[in-house]
Amino acid sequence: MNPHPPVFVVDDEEPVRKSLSRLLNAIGVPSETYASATAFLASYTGDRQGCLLVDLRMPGMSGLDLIAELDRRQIALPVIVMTGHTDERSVQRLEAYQPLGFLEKPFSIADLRSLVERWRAMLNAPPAS
Amino acid sequence: MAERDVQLPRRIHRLRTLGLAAGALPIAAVFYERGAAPATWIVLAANGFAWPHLAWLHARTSADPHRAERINLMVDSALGGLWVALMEFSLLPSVLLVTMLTMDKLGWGTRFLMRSSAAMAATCVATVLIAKTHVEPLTTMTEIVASLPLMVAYPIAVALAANQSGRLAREKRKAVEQTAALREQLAHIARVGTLGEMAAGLAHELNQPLAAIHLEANAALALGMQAGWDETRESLERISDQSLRAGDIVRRMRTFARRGQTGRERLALAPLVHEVLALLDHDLRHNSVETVIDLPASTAEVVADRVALQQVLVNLIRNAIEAMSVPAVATRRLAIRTEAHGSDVRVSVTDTGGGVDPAVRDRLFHPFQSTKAAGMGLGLSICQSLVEAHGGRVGAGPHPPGGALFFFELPAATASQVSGSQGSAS
Repeated sequence: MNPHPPVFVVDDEEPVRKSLSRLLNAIGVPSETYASATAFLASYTGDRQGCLLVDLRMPGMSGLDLIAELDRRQIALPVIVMTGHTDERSVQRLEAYQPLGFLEKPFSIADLRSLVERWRAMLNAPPAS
Repeated sequence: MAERDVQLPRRIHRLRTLGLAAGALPIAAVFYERGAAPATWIVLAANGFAWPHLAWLHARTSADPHRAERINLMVDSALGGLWVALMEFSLLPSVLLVTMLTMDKLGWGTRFLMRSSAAMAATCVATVLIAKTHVEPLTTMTEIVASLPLMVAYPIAVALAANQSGRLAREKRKAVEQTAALREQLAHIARVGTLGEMAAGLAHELNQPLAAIHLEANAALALGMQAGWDETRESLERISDQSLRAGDIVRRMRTFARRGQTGRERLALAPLVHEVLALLDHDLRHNSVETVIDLPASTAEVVADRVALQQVLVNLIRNAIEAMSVPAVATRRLAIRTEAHGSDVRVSVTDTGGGVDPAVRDRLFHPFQSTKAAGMGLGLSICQSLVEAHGGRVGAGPHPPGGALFFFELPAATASQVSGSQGSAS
């Protein structure tokens, strides 16, 4: 059996990153963590399956920048975006990229779990091409 | 400044006019009783009625009125010695003259009093030797009567003048206190305004530990029974750490927003700078600003109000961040340095932004000078008044190649200055 594809956690905050990783582990999903969008882009080649869990607000390259860059590279990676309550305008712009979902911080494990479940369902039943 | 310095010579002029007129009277009585040369009468008239106005002119036109007045007072004493000898030491007028001349010098320090007394004694001895005057201390009734105006009027005038200068000093002190209170109020309003501008960033900052706590608690719940004690303990430790972190953020905000002076205390600059950087952590990270800190321990202590100093640093650092947070600025480096500058400590904040517009350089610290769309232009002027209230100064300049340098200097804490009243942080 193939290993379960991981969630790529991109967040500049180390405690959040670590907690997310443990939380995902608790619901049975492997994860990889990255401290910045550039760190993720540097190691991700586009041929791996997975799901991006990214913080919208980050210094340097923001979550929005990262999603736009992936789109430009024609990488179709499912994306879950973590937002703060002051990010309405960025959220509107993000709609164009059709992310899997938004999580407004602080979010509950149930919200995260339901989005992860939706992604897993997509994995198991890829959309007819 | 010069206007205020003439106040003292003006008061002395009034006293001298009265004192010399009243003082010439017993001297004239002695000469009348015992006889004197016409030249002596002319010198007495000149000293009694012309000299006070000459002395006033001298002080008024001098570049340093204070110093000119010291010279005038020395001349007073020297002439006093002359008259004591010429009066043949007639007891009452001589004692009165010496007493009044001594009284005039009491506020000028012991050394000046000794010097002027020496000048008086020297002219007195010289007059005795040159003019071969007799010593005839017995005072006649006429001389006693002529001494009365000096004995009565002059002490009253001196007491009135002292009373007036005491009142002026009290009023001045009150005005200084009011200015300090106004400055503190304005600084507090500005701090609250700054916090308002920082609110979004601080809310985001506070959300991070809260999110981590929430996630960690959820992880512990989800792991539940299947996890071992170690897993659970790790979650609990992280929850504990993160709640402390959230508490720190709130504490910093509360300290910064508090009203009123916390009092001067001996402060190490290094922890203060780190505290301010923690307060601005989100702004720095959000704008991808790299921070360079160079705080040598030897130059790093001052006696100051903690919140005032934080406010100055927050203002300077936020200005630096703002100067660099335009897309055109590729390298964003904030540097904070302390260095000894004579007996002062200089704290400089440099950035790699667009620099200061030469057109506004001269008016940087003036109130209501702003290059920002949303700025009131009070930040730097408040910095200046806070630093100057601590006996320091602020300044600015270019930071090559293109950035700006802002600095402030405060007197370094000396070894004898112990930590003052420690304001409670809560």
